[in-house]
Amino acid sequence: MFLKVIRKLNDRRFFIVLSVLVFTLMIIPFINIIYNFFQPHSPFYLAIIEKRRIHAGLINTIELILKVGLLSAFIGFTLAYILTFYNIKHSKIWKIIMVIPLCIPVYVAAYTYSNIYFYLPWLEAITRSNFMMNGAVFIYAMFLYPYVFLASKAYLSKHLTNYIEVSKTLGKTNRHIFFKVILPLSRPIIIGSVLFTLFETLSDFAVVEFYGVLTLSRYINLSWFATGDFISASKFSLYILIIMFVLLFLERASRKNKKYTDSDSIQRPIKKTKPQGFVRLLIYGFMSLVATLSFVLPMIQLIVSSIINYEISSQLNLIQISTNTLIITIISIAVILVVALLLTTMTIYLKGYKKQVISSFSTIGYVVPSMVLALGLYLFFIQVDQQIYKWFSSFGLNRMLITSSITIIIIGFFVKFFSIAYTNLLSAYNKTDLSLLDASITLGETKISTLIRVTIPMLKKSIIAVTIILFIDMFKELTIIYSLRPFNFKTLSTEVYRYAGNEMINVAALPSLVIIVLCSILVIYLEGGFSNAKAK
Amino acid sequence: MKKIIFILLFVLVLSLSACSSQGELVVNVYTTRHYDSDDALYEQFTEETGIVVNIVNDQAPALIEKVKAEGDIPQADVFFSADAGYLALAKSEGILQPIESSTLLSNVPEKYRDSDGEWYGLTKRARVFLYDKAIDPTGLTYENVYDTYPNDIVVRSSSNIYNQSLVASFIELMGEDGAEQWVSNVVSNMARVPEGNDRSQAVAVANNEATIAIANSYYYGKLVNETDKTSEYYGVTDTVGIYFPNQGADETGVHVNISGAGVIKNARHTDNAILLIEFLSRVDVQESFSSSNFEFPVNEEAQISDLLQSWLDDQNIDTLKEQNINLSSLGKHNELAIILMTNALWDDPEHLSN
Repeated sequence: MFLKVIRKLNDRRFFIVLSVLVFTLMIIPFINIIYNFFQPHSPFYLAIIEKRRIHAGLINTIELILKVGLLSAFIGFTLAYILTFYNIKHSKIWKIIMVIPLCIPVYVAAYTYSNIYFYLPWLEAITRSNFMMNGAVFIYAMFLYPYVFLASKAYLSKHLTNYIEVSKTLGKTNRHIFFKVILPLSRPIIIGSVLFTLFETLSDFAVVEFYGVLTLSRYINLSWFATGDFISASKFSLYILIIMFVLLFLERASRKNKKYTDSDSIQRPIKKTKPQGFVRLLIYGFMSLVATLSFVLPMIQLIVSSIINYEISSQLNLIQISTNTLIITIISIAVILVVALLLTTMTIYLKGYKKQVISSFSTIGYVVPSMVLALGLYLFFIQVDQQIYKWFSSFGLNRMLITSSITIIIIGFFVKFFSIAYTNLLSAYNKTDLSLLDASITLGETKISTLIRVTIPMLKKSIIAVTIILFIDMFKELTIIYSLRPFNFKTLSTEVYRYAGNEMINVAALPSLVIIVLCSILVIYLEGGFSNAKAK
Repeated sequence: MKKIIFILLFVLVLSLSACSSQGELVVNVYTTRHYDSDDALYEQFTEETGIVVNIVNDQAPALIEKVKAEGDIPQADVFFSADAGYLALAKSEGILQPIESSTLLSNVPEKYRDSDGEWYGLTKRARVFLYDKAIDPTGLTYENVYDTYPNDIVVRSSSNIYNQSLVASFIELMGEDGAEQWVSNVVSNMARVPEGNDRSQAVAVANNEATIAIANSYYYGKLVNETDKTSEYYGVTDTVGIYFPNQGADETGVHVNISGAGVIKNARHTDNAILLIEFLSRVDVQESFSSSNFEFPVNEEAQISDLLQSWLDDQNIDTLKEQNINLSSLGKHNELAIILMTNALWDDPEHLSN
């Protein structure tokens, strides 16, 4: 029945309506920024610009993203390389441990570390050195590197076998293969995934404020908290947007003229080597170091804090707030996946500039600072709401439909996270054998039913990967939920923030742990981690 | 197509409005305060009056911007802020309405309420010195602290509203030039680049990174009551004391900021909103603010909690001497305060940058 309806749907019209809708949603917060940019400068903005204070912020921001980028790329890629090409004991468990740091919100990590430093002052001396920009680089790199790890791991284990085998046949050494084959081939994947760490770094202000590093995002924060100066905040956001677009441009440029397609879609499994002697020591040493800093220490601290402060944090209605978090996360992921699949299906049949336009607009949401995004959406939808209210108040409507329900949060999540699903699915789509889709259409299926019956099964792995990233990102997301939630609506992240903001980070440990545990369960489940390990 | 959308919307609206409460024993609160102790008070209010309190907490500028956008049909009835500057901002943005209440007039002294009755102060906090107990802080003032303890002061970043209000109060008291001088003197005597929160400043003093921290009295109360032995905050008050500066006869008095609330213009539950604010100004509720949240009550009938009283007693203070300024000025000078701090490189002091 469902399929019949879908078969009858007029593809073209449906796609056009859909893409216009997505386009409009994406552009709402952006319009706000552009509009505000042409408003008169506030005295605060002028003071920053005229006294060239902006330079310090700009230089610090660039230094920060350079260092975070390099460090997270090094950690993430090295770990992915080790777990792909070496025989590591309990590699499934290691893999999960390497993903979990992503489940810890960066500001929770920073606050938690201030307690860890209390016991390990020598660690503070190292991780808060000048090079680490007073600790900010350390925190961002240590808790965002899994983006690089996840992407690199997926890429390495799938796409390089042939190249490596050819090199080996030619008698090249391992070192030669690494530097001349693996690294250059992986470069686009590394750069692409590092971008995610950098976008998160650029839009965060809590950690840089906590460590006293003056960056552009702090100017946004500062102008916002000045006289509620949304206009200056938007203007500073534009600087960050420009940096982000430059990064995006560089990423595209680095991919240009290079096509890394695998004509052979059947991949042989990688032959893993068993690390020996010094290499073995080095490998396990490195993995343990990263695991200790980004997983073991924070987890111990959070668990200890949760137990000690249980009396206070047990008053939280954890089941209720976890359910709230799960509901908005699951609905949002479902909506995003459906729309992303439809839109990628459309994009795949497009050519040239149309394709470019759609891809570019879908990324806007991710690069606009969350605070600007949230407020932009609210200002727009409150107008829509009030119109509906005026029409229907005589029928007994006594509240706002969109802005006083979780709908507004789901819209916010959609705008923020759509690009993650869209770009990932699109690149997966591009790697599939499009002739299969053509065959389906020749057999009389519409594009949408082809999507459901052919594409989705083919893209299953990518869909799972996207779901994991979306889930983690949404679970710890704070700014959008905080600014858009309806009355009395609490989620895990808002409660973490409420206590952390009230300088009670130890009480925030319990909800933080729930975030981490739920994310980990999902990672383990979707990755099929333990069951597979047992089967072997 | 349009028809279908309209019908769908209609059904949705009817189903939603059917399940929403018609009795309207409700008050909707936009608050910047995020304390469990506040929630307990709201519950008490519901028990007494049957009026359910709905809460959204967020940063003040976001809440003000929302109310502005909501215009004629606001979603909230009460705006509750932890800073007088934001209350003044809310008033100047025209989102509040004047309320008349004899209860509030008698419970809240004139000094702590808006002259037009648009907002009423409910609790007070002082911006004080937290000092290394190895020294004798007697006679310390905001104006002599940097000469007495050069390069030995810690304070958090300029984006913190309490710092902004402190500087704004100096603009009101000393004029722009005087305040600019004060800011520059503090910046050039900072022991480290501003980092961390208020409680971290006390930790820095405990760790001998500095002798004086500028922080809120409220957070010192939280430090005293820290029971988590694994926390870096635990035991800090053994070596760090609290000192209310500027208490001398010819001195300005300590900087005091208030939390306060007002009724939002066009609010749908104005009566309930007034009832809630009156409730929060009542003697027993005021005492509860003092005992469970370490804030000073504004209601003069209310007893200050033992802990807070002990701080005053330690300094032989009978009545706390407070800056004699109109609290609305904190909002008026807020932007200038930020500009002064930014110009003086508050968040990136020259002598500390490498």
